[in-house]
Amino acid sequence: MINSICLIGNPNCGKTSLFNSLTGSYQKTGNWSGVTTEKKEGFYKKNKKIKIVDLPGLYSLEAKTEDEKAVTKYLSENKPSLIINVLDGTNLERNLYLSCEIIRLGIPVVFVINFYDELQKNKISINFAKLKQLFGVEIIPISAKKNLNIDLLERKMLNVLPVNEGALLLKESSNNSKNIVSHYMKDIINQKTTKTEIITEKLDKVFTHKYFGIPIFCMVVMLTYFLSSTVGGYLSGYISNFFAKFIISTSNSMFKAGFSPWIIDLFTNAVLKGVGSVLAFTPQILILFLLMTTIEESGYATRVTFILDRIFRSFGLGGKSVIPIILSSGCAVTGIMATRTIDCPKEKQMTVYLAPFMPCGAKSAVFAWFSYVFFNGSALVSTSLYFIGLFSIGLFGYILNKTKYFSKQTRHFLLEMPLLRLPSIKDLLRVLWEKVKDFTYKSGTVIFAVSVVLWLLSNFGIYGYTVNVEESFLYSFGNIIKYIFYPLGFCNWQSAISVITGFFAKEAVVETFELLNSDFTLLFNNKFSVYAFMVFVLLSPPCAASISAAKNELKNKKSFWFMLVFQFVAGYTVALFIVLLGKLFTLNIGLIFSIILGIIILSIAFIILAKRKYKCEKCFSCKGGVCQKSSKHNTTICDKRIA
Amino acid sequence: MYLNNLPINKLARIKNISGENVFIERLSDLGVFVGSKVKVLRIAPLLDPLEIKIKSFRIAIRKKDARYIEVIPYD
Repeated sequence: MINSICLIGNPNCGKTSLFNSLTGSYQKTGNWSGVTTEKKEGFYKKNKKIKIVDLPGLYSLEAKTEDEKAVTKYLSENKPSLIINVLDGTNLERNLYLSCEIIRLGIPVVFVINFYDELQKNKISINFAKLKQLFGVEIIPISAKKNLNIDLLERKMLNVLPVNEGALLLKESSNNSKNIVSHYMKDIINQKTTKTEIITEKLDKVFTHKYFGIPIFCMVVMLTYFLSSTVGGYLSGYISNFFAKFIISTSNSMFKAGFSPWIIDLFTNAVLKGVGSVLAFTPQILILFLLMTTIEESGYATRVTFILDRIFRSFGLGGKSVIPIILSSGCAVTGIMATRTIDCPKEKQMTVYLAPFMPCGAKSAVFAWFSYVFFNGSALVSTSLYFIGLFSIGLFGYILNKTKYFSKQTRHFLLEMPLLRLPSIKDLLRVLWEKVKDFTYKSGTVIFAVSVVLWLLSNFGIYGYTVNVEESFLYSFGNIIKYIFYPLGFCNWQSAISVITGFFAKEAVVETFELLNSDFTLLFNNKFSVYAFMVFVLLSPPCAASISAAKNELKNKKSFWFMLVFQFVAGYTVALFIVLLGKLFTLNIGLIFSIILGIIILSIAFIILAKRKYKCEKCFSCKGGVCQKSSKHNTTICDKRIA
Repeated sequence: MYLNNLPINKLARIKNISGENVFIERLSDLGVFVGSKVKVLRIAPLLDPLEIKIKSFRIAIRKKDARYIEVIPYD
């Protein structure tokens, strides 16, 4: 009797897609290695007694990173009744190396060859009989995306036999299995260059072009924010209009129904206005997520890693840190979770500290609001903050790397470059739906609660209920902490309070401003202070959800508290820098010019840093390559950098 | 010759891999071992890392790490 099935395979071979179709759930998929970082459990949709487990992808059962260790630990502790070994048909040989280890576990196995539709399209045939003879297991070709042969798999997986002991591979020693697989490979598959491969090759020439690669990346980011702020902003207008009318009509009808004024005030001016101000940003966030998901699912994100690795390395961040950082520009929680694929603990710690510097969806809503109120809705605001996020990661990564605790030799970096594929509409819609649910849930809980608490605190003071806000608890509390922000040019109780509410959810910053104020322009000294405030929101400790995710990953109280202090200091310093920069430029030159100038200065600085070459301490003759003077060159000496 | 010096698009065979054991094992898991055919597809815009092709897949590897992989180019 089968009661638990687990999915194992190389990273990015489509395990999660298959998991989703077997269980009917909606786990996140993506076109890169390591989307699933912890096991996900679900139940077979046609028989709820069968548990299905989606395990993180791995190349070998000899675990090296944390997410791989989770797999081997799971297998040894829970002996599943069946393993579904998912294989990427377009990359069969490499995928079969892991299979050699799996068939030796003593657990019934079924092989599933994914992307079979792609193979058929390119007239690539697989000799199933030969494969079966070699591995001694049932083999089913499927396409998880196109739902091909899923029913066949469902029928077969319920009565699978143990691995046939007569399998060719089991007769040989395990050390030799890779060679055996390689030997038989030409009988198993007639490998041809697929169409996707040709397209990938062509697109890669553009995306990773010597000169255009990096500008194209900048354009992609800009376009993402431009579309989300124009199209999304247009749709947002309708929602806020709807709420404005809805508030008036509700308060009128409540008044007629004879509710007491304070209930009407609480319901309309706090709850509806607060929740409405956040919900208005739904279209913007949805478009942002749609585009971010496209970037992830298509495989472009890996190209970004490829072109930016050199820069990130000079800050002491490895290539594996880039993925959590890019993920954080959707949501810091997913970014922080993705740090599990990093095998070096200190590098992981540093990535957990730095990844939340990226503008997540919620922060983008705050920036969209500020851009709308102060900068005529320019998309340049969000875009520039994206790059400020990136630059701050570089800057503070560099500083952290200089400390004794973090300084280390960079580890090796190997990243599989997946084929570029168009994301499926089904997956995109799934992401959108999840986001809508998530966002409305957040509005109904955290945002709602913040509205009510803010209303209570702003309407009650030491003398009890008051309509005068200056007698309220909120006012006196905000007035105490506002002095912290005096140097940043937003020394007022409203922004001080919004920094605190932003701790619960970043969208609450917008909500707080909407609830506590009518004239926003009076709150900030100048546009630079506005920008400084946004930078502070961007870099200061993220929302409660991300902080708890970080706490989970760090597992060490000291480093956790250090993170909070570090992020606060980082946000404060950069914001202060913006204000000082503003002091230099406010006289005659505009905001945008100085931001561009700042970015140019910073990029020149980073290019200079990145240009430093590896030199051999002994002879100084190797230019990043093998030492040219001595053939017996000592690589450990050459790894040392000389500034 | 080492992988970091291999001209772009020139096919070569891996002769030897040195360095840390973890590194060699990881490469081997990925299908990169002595005897595999390898080709450098491109160099990243900032001159590092390299994108190499082994069998039917590509991986990005830094020059620093590619230095540990000795190759013999095919004529």
